[in-house]
Amino acid sequence: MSSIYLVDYYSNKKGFFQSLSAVSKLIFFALSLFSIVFSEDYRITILVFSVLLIFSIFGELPIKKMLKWALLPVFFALIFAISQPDTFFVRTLTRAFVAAYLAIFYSFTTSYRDSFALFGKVFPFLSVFFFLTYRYFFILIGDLEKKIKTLKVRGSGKRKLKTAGYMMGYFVVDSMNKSEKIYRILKVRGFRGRIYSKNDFSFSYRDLLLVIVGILIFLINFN
Amino acid sequence: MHIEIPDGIITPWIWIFAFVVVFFLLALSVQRAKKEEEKLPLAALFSALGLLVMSIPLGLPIHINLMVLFGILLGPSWALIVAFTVNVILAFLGHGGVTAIGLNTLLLWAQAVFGYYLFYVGKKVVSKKAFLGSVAAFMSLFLSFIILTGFIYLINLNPEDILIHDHDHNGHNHEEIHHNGHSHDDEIDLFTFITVAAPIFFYAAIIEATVVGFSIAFIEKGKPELL
Repeated sequence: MSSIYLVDYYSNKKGFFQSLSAVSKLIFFALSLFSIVFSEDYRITILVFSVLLIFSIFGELPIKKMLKWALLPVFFALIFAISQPDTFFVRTLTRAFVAAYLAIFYSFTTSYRDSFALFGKVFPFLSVFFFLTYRYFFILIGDLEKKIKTLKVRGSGKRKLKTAGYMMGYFVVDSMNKSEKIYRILKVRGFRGRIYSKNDFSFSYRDLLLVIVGILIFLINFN
Repeated sequence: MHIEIPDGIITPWIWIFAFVVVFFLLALSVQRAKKEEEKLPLAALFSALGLLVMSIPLGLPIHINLMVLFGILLGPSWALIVAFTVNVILAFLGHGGVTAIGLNTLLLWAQAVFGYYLFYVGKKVVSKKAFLGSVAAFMSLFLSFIILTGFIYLINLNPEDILIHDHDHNGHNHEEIHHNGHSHDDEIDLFTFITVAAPIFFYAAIIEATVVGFSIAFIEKGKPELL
């Protein structure tokens, strides 16, 4: 549950990668991802992973945690890999793992404001929805932690599914009440379907360096 | 619950096609959603709740997602926006593939749409809403699993083979044509996939259907007008 907390903490830290433009990071992300997905050569996947590891060490990111998270899609990839011929087993798993690590690296170095604002350039309505979802996540996680504590104190350890179901029902009803209040607040504050944020998407020479690394990976893949 | 598709498994033409379909449906849904702007905070709260429950593993690294419940309460248009948002945020946390966002969104949305229609049609026949919600949830999850196996079947199709086959009817040499086509030897064996995935699916689907049933029972007591 604390995963988004951790991402939020690292993405807002002052660091080399955090200071780069969201645009350059997205270009690097896309080029690297395409290289992983389209490459038949496992060495490309290893190359991307090596670059990401070096970046993670240089950026002082929590590598152990990131590696652990990147293992989750490997579980799902395993279901597919078992169903494929043996020669593709390792390729499927490594692709899923490195692609997940790449996505996690992007999230750990880019604040949600920058990402959503960039997304908002193309999809303004969805960007508002993303902002609100992200904001409410932190409200709900606080409520959920309180609820779990109360349940533990009351000793509601048995009939876990019934308790979980009722708890979800409670959150739905509570969300309904909250949403009515929130909508009125938004309207009073002059909400007209958009949330504006000040973002700087300007490029520096450091951004260019990251994009060049992405292009190099991409070119190596297609040569 | 749904089997998340990671990156690097799906043939590009399928995930690109899925993105096109999702963006087309999103454009329609956003137009509809703008007319029901008062639902925006509620849908965003449900989206956040979805993110929250999807980060709680059920023993194995699988989870419930409550999309059926959100479909019943929000309707298909808002449910698509919720499904897309949840998938985008989770994909960037390494949870499901970024290239598979389109497909994963369609799978989640399918659960919400089936759940919505099964619940509202079933309400005319069955009076016990909690039981109906559970059944609708299980059936919707099962239908989304069938769609997933359909995707797997499509993954195994090579469009070039189809095109080449078409050329073949035009009188070209069969051997020469196959030589020009790419081999497609990394295909997923559908039988093995179902054998491996089905037990995981049923385990999580039973849990999700039970949780949805109890949630509806609670909502029926606390705010029956929602149903």
